Amino acid sequence: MSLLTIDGVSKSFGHHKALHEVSLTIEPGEFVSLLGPSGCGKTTLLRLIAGFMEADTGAIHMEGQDLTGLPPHRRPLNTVFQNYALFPHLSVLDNVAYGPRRGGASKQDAADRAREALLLVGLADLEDRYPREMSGGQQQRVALARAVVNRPKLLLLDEPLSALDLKLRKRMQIELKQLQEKLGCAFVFVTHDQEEAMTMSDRIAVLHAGRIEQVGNGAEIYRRPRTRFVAEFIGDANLVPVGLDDAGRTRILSGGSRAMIGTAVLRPEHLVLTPLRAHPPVGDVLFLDGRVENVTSVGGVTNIYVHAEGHDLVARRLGLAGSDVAVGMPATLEVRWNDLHVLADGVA
Amino acid sequence: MTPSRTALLGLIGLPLAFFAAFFLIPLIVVFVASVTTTEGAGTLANYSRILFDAYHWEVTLVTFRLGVLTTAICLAIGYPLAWYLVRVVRWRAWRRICVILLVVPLFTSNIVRSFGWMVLLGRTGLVNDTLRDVGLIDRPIRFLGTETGILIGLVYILLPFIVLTIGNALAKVDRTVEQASADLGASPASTFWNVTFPLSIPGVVSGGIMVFALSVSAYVTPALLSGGRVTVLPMLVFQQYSSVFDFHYGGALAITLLVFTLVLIAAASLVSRLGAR
Repeated sequence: MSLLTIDGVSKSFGHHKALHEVSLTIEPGEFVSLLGPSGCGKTTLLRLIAGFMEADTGAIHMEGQDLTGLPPHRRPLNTVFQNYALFPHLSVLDNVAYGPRRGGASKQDAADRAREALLLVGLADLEDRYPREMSGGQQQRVALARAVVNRPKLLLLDEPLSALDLKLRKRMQIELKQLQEKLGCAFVFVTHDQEEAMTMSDRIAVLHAGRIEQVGNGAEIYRRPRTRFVAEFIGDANLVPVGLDDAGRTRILSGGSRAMIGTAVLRPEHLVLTPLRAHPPVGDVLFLDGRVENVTSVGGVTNIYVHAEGHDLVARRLGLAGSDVAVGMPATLEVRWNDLHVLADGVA
Repeated sequence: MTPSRTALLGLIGLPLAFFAAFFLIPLIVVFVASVTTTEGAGTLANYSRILFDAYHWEVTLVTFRLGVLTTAICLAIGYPLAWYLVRVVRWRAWRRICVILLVVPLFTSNIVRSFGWMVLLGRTGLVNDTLRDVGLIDRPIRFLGTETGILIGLVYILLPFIVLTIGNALAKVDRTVEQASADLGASPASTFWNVTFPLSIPGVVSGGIMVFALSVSAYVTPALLSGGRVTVLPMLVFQQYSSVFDFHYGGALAITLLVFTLVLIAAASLVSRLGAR
């Protein structure tokens, strides 16, 4: 049985519809990210699961139990809040022991379990501190320890890493994933950072304007985005119109042709600058002729902007730009047909 | 750019001079008067006159009993009221109206409001009439000239202070912290006692201290509502300064009131700090 079943959930704030008939299931022990830009409804969905809001329509079940109408304190799950929401008047140990205490554990028992949880996040020696005496990263760990101390089967995390600096964030991503595997508990992780979602998740649900656009693992979503929004939100994408030629084969159209059947995604790393001159499309390879418009190098990656057959495309390669690319040079791009992915909502 | 030395001295010196001129020097004047005789010789006679006299102890006891009861009742009424204003009222205009209703009486004179209570609490005042009409009492209750009457007046006058300080503290409590408490399995009542109330204690303490200090030093309200039958320390001080013109004895009474007040506040904060452990 699925751990969590979200079934046709909608939520409006006044005239603004925050969630539209959202359905999603979470399996036990799974790491699922809710990914989307701000205002897409991902935090609303998390708050509905936690019980801080009630859905207008639809239902959420956990292990078969209907959560509708159940107040947050009676829901068998825990939350890591975006700003950590630590109790400022309690020490670190008392913060973490808060959950077991409310669950009826004795003071001694609660403290033992809190120490165990603090050990898990590497803060065993800071139990007497107060939250205000700790760094952001340490507070983050306290919030984590506090949320997992009751060993919930489901942990909700609301952009827990967004306040940390880049370096610490990367380290915490790995630690979080390890912690999740160690605990065997399902994580629902809200983020607007696609890289973060890709790094940690078993599955990613991409949200846009209150709807789930696509659910799948990172590779699926990257390789085969279902919609234009997903294609552009996850990684960089060249979007080109495609149509059928006389032989009934898919081909890239130049300009707004009536024969268009959809939009295809070309990832920049799949566009390869080739010394070969234009060929008719043979086999599984396609050639696009054009001119280099711009070249930028970021770290170890070079982006080559090419205007080819009526489209502005970007190609990407590792390493610095060689002597073969300079602004204004004619260029031919080579694409493998297999790397061309046609979107479901293409005609737009 | 670093500020020059004179500018720094001015920054430190000006507020210091202000506090000295308006708070410290008057206090020193009162204190010096209390330990000297009319001829200017040093003496502790004014203090022994107060401390070795049962009447003064009785007056002090009444004063502080009224202060403690006023503070306790203000807290008991003020906390729920502040909660209502900050947490229950959803409509902002209504909250604003409530705050205005609370604050406007502070703009009118203490004397006017105390006279108002004299009218309300009189033998044939609104309070007694209502109680009689409802059938709760047969004969009018005497409020004027009793500690109860003074207590009602003081609570009414000082309540806004405590509602505003507690309301301010409650408004500052982070709501996500309360959500975290609920998320960890605490019922709403448990969240209140374990999270919200402890976090609002600064407001409770500062409001409580303010009300206590204002009630033990209140003159107008006790004087008008006592009808001459109850005496509190500020009334003795006022008599000495305004009718008897004995600034030395009056000064000693004022200093005694101040010391007792400080000792009580210190004791209360010590107890609350120990309780928090």
